[in-house]
Amino acid sequence: MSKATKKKSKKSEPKQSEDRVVVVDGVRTPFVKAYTDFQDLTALDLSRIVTSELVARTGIDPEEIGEVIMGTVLPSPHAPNLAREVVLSADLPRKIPGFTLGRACASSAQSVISAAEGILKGEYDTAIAGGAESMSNVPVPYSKNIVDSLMALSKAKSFPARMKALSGLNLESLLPTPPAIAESSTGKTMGQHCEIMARKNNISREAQDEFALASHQNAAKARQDGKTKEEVVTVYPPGSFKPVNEDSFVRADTTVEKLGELKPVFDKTYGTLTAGNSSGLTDGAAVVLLMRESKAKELGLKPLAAVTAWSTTALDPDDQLLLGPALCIPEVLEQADLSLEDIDLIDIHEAFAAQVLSVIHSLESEDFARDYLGQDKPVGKVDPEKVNVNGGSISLGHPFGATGARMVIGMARELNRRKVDRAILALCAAGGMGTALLLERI
Amino acid sequence: MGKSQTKARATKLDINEQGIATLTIDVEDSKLNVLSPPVFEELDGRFDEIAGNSEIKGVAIVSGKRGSFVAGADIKFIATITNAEEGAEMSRSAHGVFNKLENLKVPVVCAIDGVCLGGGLELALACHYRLVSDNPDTVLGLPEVQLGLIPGAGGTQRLPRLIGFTESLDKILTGKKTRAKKAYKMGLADELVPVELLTSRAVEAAGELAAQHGMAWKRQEGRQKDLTTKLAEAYGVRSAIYTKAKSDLRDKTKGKYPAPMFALEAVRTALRTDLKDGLEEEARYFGEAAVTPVSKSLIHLFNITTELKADSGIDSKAEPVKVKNAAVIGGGLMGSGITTVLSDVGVRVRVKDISEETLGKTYKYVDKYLQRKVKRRHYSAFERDVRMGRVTATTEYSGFQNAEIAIEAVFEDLKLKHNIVKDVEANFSEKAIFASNTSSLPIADIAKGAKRPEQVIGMHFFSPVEKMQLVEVITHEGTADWVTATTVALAKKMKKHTIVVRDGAGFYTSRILAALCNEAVRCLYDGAPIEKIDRALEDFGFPVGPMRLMDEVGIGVVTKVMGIMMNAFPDRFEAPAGWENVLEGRQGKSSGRGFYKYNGKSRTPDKSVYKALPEKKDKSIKEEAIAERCAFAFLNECAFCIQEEILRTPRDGDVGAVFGLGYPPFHGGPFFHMDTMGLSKVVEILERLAGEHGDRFAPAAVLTKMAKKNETFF
Repeated sequence: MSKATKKKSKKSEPKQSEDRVVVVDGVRTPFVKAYTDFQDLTALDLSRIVTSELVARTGIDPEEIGEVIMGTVLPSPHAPNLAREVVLSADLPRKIPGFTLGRACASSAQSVISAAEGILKGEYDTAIAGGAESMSNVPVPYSKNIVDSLMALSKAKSFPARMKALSGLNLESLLPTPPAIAESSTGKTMGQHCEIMARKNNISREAQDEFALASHQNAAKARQDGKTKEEVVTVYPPGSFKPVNEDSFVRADTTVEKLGELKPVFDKTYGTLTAGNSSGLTDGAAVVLLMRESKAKELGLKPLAAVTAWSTTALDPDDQLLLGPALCIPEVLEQADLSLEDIDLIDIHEAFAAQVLSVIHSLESEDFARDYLGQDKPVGKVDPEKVNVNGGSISLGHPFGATGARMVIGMARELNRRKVDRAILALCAAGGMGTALLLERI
Repeated sequence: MGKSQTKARATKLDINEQGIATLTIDVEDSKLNVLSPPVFEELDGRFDEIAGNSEIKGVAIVSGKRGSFVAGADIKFIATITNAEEGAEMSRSAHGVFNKLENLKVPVVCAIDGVCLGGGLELALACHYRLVSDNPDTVLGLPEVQLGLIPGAGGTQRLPRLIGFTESLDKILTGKKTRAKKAYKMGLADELVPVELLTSRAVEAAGELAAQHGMAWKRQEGRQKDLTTKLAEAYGVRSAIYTKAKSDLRDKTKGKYPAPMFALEAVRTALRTDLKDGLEEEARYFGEAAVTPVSKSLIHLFNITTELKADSGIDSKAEPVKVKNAAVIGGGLMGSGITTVLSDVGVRVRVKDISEETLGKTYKYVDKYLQRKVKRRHYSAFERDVRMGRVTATTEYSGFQNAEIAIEAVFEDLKLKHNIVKDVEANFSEKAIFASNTSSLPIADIAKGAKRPEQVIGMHFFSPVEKMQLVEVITHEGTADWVTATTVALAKKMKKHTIVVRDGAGFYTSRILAALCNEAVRCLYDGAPIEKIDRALEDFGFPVGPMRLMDEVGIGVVTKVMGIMMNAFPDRFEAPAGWENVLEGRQGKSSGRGFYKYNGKSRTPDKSVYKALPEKKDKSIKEEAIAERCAFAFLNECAFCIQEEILRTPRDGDVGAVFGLGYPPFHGGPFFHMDTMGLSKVVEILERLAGEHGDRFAPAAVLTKMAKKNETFF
């Protein structure tokens, strides 16, 4: 069984450049449970709202923007190039191109990376990067059978031919085919994969529930302290136009007991993953304004942080599908010539509590260091006090395409609040991928 | 048509190798192609030239102006008509030119791109084949009734012959414009052509028609008419349509606007007689319409609004700043309306309010407006989204560093406004303008204590902002010219008629309206029933009577404005005795009780008003007398505004009263109305009213002075 397949080819070396890439500011929508408040807002609507607000808040002259990059996991057939649609519908100068990318749940982290690469390469000085997901508006296609029949029908010229075209249909054909949630190469769902990880790394149900509880408590505290308000724009969904200004998953009053009552969902007999210790289906969008540091200075802006290193890795999906962060975090540390102790804040996307705990376990494990990284010493001890200090995807929600940008916004601000120097961000993504970024306070 | 001295250079004729002539209309030194008598004369010569040239096999008529065909006849010349026969003669000479066109022995194809209105469409109707471009700005129409006229160059005769009685009535009686696609569908145009191919297709089509056997192109029958049209053409149905149209017109115009009635008669003639007789009838009706005072008034309004569009609002050459980002402070009804229009015309707008609930309502307001536009297919879903995207909202002073202007639309409270001036100065750039949407608070008072008083100005919008066409810009003594110019330019960008007035109690519109309402209250005291007062002024031509208006605006606001007026002009605005008692417990429509009682949609005069009045008087006061008193109090106050230089010109006074307050357009505005009556007559009436009702009617000095010298405002 092959272990890690490290990705060496695309290694950026941003440190060589004197002129860094900085995060000027970022804005996100509240993250809202799918099929609730944002039901009638598409990913494009959500993206337009955050982009307009970002432009207004930063006071950036839209003429300065060189590129818009958006990430999304399930693109709408009505706006497959979401980023370009954002440019047009947010009334930005039409000369700005815009492209949309997919790196599963790390998509908007990749948007930030791609924008940073464009800036370092000298393509432009300023870019908007982010992502969005509307799980309330996931496209549900017709079955192949019905599509084929309709095509044949449109070509049929005579009545018998038309009848023939329709003859292949049965009631079953009328059922829509929702997008697959399983890994194509393994046939297992993400939850099933994470159950395997929990077993392999000995992550107990109790440990998972405790982690989920901490996530909620941290998120509730961040909200109470007014941190959430700083990064969120109030959304007024059409219809009621009632203000929505809070993340809807946060449960300030949950307890280990309450979480303990929930039934496992992916493996009903032996499983440990529940709705309480997993992230839920979410609608939301987030964008950040990235700029060459010298440009920000020239415009008199006060950036929040610099994006100084990044890495994406992948491993065999048959192994531990969501272990990516344990591989890309050491890569970023190596690039920046830092050790885990030098990092002040660690933000790991919470697909499942078991997945984050598996990552932490691996970073601290000698076996993992030997088998996956080819080194004797473990990556380092993870101080729980540094991890997901303002909550994570379990408590805040996880709009696939927006989570990476949400983490960049949150950590860039937190560095300044705590007046500490470095934050590392990492996300696991479908297909066995992992993406990590290093943010440094200016 | 008399021979003109100067030769208009308006046309060009090129003939290609296939014998197809292209007649290009491109009126020199004019932004648009407008048909003046010299242009008609030149066209006449061109048609002779074509008729006399046997090489020419077909003709394509195109415009040399990009994106505009022919905008219509030159109003200037129509305004000179002094008697009906002269008007009829002008119409006849246009007929002569277009008949010559229609009777050419070669086919004429007309290529329409952009505006094709009035005389422009009548020219197209005389051609044998019409192409319209798919340019979204291509519109066809006969808007003459909007100027109190009727189409006089064959429109009332050729349009019904082409598209049928019912459809043509709809176009001619309302003057509404038809887009290219619709024009093609109803058979007004023969082809809908991609704009890039329009000219070449016109030449090609002329060639194709010329090749038809036995001049088949002469038999113009339009395209296949649908069943409804055919039914409508049946004799009995036609007369029923006529009768219905006539009674609808009576309801709609209340007998104040004669032109649509003339037009209806002219179109009806088209169905009964041949073209020659029909055209003669048209000429006669045109002449009659052209000399009505209504037409003179409407043309006056057209002219002054056109003139106003070119006015920067200042006397110096100060340059306006281009507003790309605007802030609206206060997301209430007015703020929402202002936000809607700003985003609609392409300005990014950030709304600040203390309450997110209010901001939600602001979005709802914008959305409602846009959804209506989408429903009517004026906007696509995308165009709606872009406009929504221009609006951002905040409860904090963040994101205003780029706004060139802050439009304040909060409660009318001086202290609150002072605080907002401070907030704006602290959170906006140093160059930001502070524009107050106040209807009565003196701008100088608002500017008091401002760090940069020269950047404080009034920008008075009318409710509902998206419908009302006026903005009254108010400058105080210290307002910088560039600030005025910028505010005026922005209001114009918002497609508003924009007048600049000097600071003073009630500015212009609130002041003259207060004069009217004040006199209405006097009439109430003299025994006039509430609904009678309203009826009197509505018959006079105001859209809403003063008692209802005060209820709609809110008694609180009215009291505030009246207080300001009373302080400033005690001679004319002194409140009658016991007025506070009358107003006790009345807030207006919003609370359900004002001068009327409101219950859902119904409205009944509140009889308790009469009980609160000091003494009961004679109810028999005549409607005419009420209307006269209120109107002349209003007109006199307008004159004071000229006298005190509140207004820059009588033109602004007419525009302000008509578009801000609904002063009857058929009078052309208060100043034009006074001119029409004659100033000595106005003075005479005011003096009589002063004798009957008190010195508040004493005519403004400017009126007596001008009357003596036999002067007029225009």
